[in-house]
Amino acid sequence: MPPTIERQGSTQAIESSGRLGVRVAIFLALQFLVLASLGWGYSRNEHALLGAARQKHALLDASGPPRLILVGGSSVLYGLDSPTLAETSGLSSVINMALTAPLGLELMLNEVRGHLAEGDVVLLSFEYEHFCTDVVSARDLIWLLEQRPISLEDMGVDQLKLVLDRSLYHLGSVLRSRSWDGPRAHDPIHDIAYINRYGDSTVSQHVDEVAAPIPTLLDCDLGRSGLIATQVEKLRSFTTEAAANGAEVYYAHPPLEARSFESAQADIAVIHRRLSEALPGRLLSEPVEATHPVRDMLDSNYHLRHAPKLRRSRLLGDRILERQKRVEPRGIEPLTS
Amino acid sequence: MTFTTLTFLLFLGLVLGVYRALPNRRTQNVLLILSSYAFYSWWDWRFSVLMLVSSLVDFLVGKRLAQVDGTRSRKWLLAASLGANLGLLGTFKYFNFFAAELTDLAASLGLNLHPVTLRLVLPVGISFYTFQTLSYTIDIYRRQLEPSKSLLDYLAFVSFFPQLVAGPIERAAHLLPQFQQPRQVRESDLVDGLRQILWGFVKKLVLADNLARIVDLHYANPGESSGPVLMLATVCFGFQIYLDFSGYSDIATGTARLFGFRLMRNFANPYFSMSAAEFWRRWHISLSTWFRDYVYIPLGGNRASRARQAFNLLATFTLSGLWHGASWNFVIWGALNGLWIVPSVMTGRRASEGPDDLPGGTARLPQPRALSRMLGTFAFVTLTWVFFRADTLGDSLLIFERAGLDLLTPSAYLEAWQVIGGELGLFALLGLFVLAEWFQRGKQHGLDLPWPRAARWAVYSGLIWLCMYRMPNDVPTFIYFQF
Repeated sequence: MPPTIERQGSTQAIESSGRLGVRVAIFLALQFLVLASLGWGYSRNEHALLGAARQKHALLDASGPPRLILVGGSSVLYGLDSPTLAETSGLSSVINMALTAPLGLELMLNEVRGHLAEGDVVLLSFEYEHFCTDVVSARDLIWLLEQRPISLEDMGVDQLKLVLDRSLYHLGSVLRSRSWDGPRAHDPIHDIAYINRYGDSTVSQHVDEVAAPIPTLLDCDLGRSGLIATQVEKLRSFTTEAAANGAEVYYAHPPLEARSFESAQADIAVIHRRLSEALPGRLLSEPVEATHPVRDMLDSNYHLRHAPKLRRSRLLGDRILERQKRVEPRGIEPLTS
Repeated sequence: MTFTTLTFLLFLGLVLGVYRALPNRRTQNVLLILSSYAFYSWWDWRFSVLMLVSSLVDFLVGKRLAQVDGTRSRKWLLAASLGANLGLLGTFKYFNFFAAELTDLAASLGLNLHPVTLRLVLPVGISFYTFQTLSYTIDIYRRQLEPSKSLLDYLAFVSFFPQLVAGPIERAAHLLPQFQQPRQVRESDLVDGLRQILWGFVKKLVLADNLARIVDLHYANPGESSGPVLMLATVCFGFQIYLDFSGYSDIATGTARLFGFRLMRNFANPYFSMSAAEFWRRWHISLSTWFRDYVYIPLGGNRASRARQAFNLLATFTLSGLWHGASWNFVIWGALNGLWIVPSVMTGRRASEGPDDLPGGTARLPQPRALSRMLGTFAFVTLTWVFFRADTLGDSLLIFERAGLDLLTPSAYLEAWQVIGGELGLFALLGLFVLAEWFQRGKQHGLDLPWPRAARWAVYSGLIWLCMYRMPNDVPTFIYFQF
């Protein structure tokens, strides 16, 4: 049946839509009242690990070059010891900016991009998931915004889309439990109380028995995702930009449990090759150097117990010192040249 | 962009505000095209390029078809349109399936073929807009439709965001004229459109996504659940797919009404049907009628011998199964539904009820005979959903095997009862929904309430907050997006 399109006098239509507009406005105001009463008393979780973003950014803002700035996900937060790095690298001012990999590579880079100056050194320990699958989690991004709203500035378009899409569902979660603390609140591994004055997590010094098992093998299929080219290019342009500001950027493989390494060895080799080609002289370690027996792992892949953490920090600190002593060309030549 | 996100609600408010401020239909159509392409690009901008190419091919073919008289030339033009559209669909949706099947077939004949597969992302909604544009060129070829003179009108018709990714699959004869005339949106359109959107949200967020938890849990490893639990999960899936898809259609139809457009009805209380034929007149109506008009009737329809009619029906249903996805499960699901409907054709007993008739009779409560027929129809439909939902053919057969083996095991029924007991709130809400559907079955949607304003507002508010409390933790997708 063809559609019936009714024509009305324009004045009548405007009056009618005006009345409707008032009714809709009253209805929405009522819903906001309901929302306010349901959400009354809700406050952000002061124990949440992502709250450490405030402290880390304050450290970054308050310090000046030359600094060693650590960037990455939890492999940096739980896998590096800043005092050891300071001691071995010769850079006394160390700031660990890392939180968790699902915040995404773009946000990690954007957080420090505008702060780099002559004499700064960045150590970025990526996680393999950044190249394999899109690990960015809207949930973590929203939790970060809850703790530090200004982090919105560091998010890329894709991350903002994710946040916007999930925001209604986050509100639903909040309403379901006004006293909601987030699933990590009661987990000592993710407690902000263990963050030291450099921004490292010191939980490995306090917790030795970990209930959570080492997770299953690394799921990496580079061919499927096609993400590697985009991510390598991001790192390359970040390095070039840093060099233009007088800062050096070095990269390190994350600590991986031996079985996981074996299962993903072929993909890791591809990642290593691509990074070595795009960032010559910038990788501080070989993939195999970052493998560990299961007894070295704290609660999952990438997270180390205290002693292996110190060993790893010493190794990377020594290598930074070694590289800094060499005369390095600033910046990265374009791949096409 | 998914309907049930804040992104969509903000997008809708913005586009609607600008739309109402624009002076004429031409500028409104331009806005609709731009916003529809933005809506589609939210997933991946490359999808929009594909849609634009498909639209341009059909627009040009349609224009040329109207200028050419020779039968041969017209056939070539139609073939070009069919080739382009079905070629796109075949490449993105079916290539890997047929390549793998061919390799398997060759292996069974002793030939060793290296399977060639494509690493392609299936563009969301490709099956829907492809069928919509196909119907445009076929109707022009049949001289049942004049081609659109304006490319803008045509692009707006193909890309119209409320129904772009999961239908209803509109016919050009119904929707295109609405883009060619000025729209006047009445207050009743706005109010009823908003109500229908809310009803769609309730179906999706309160019920479908929560039923999905039960379904996904037991269908992930069917070998680990008992027969009655698997059957319960299948019933849940029957409701989930209806609530998910009809919820989507409600949001689409309601959204279109806000802009002054009328979309065709896609669901008409199908689970109150009393026969196979009636069910298929009420379920996914836009697709069923598409297959009727462009496959079943050209095959000869019911103007043929009984045997030929049966063949036509089977072929049509099997193809409609394949439309849903490249897997044997969908083919079997389609064929089973075809077999189910064939007897009514062979015996000449066809359902007289159409989608606009009141389902289940006019009595306030269903009569025992009507109720038993409804339950019988529902039971058969539910069994066919096993093939639709299971990941593999092996899983489907395993589910039936478990159901058969556990038929006389009382402890297995206890397990099913425990599942129900663990989700009492959800099943109570589902029961309330079925009652609401029954008492509102003569209406376009469940929120068409003849109550005083205060009572209506209380219901709307209650439902909004029910959605907020029952919605899942992560953004859900709609089942039909994968097709």
